[in-house]
Amino acid sequence: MTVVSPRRTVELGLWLTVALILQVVDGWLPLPLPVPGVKLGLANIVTQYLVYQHRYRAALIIVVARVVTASLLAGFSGGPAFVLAMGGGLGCWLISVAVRRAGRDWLSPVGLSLAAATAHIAAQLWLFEQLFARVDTGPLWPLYLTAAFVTGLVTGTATALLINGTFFQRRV
Amino acid sequence: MNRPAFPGRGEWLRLGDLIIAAGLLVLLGVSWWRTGFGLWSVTGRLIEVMDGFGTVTRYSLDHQAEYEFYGPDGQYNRVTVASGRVAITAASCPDQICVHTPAVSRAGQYLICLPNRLLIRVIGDGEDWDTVL
Repeated sequence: MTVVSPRRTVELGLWLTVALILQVVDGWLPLPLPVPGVKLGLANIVTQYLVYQHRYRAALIIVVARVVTASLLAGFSGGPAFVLAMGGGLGCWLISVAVRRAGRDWLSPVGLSLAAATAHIAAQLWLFEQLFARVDTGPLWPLYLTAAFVTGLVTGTATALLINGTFFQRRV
Repeated sequence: MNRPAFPGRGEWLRLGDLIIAAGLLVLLGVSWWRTGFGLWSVTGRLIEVMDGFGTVTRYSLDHQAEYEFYGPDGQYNRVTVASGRVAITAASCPDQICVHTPAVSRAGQYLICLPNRLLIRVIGDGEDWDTVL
């Protein structure tokens, strides 16, 4: 077990706070689409920001801590909502790391977020089919993949703004 | 860390992004093509509701009505059918995502309240009822 410096701990705490706030704000903006549960995925900006800087472990910690904390805030149930949130988050993290490692310097946060958003929804649809065995998710894939493409572009652009330091100080 | 924390400015669109975007667009095209683009082309006739207990019931979309569903832990959902459309109009869930979803009316559309494990599917005319839900 490596020793985590106080500075790192504080920084991770701050990122967790940012991710949680983004997740809550995300919940305030339900997109009025006739497809259930499509969100922008603003909290993934933090994940992509960390993954983009090759801080994979920090990103994983933030993802797990955010999903657990957010479900506690919403009154923990451990039900399908939690399983889907955690599954989506982990699938998203896994693919993000793979894509980031494979695409060293020919990738921007936009491409990373596109892959991440798609991985997120793919993991959730797969899990959904496992949870509700009698539901055929087949016809839902094109809808959710399209939604993931659009939301991935949005969060990817936001992450690129953050990385490029247009509005923010470049050193933490 | 030897690696600089920030790779620098200019982290915008690159070749890899275009490859990923093109790949995803191909995936999108294939998935739309495989479902035949005919999604939601059939008007719904019935709704099939699976409540928190896993009980499946069917209701007509023709009659204006309100139905109430409960789950094993006191979960509550009110489902309203009016003028051929169905919507979840009240729910005990914390996120209220299901209440914010607009009313649906076409065969193959879903309404879902994940925390309460409530699933509503719109069924059209020529569908094999045994294969759904």
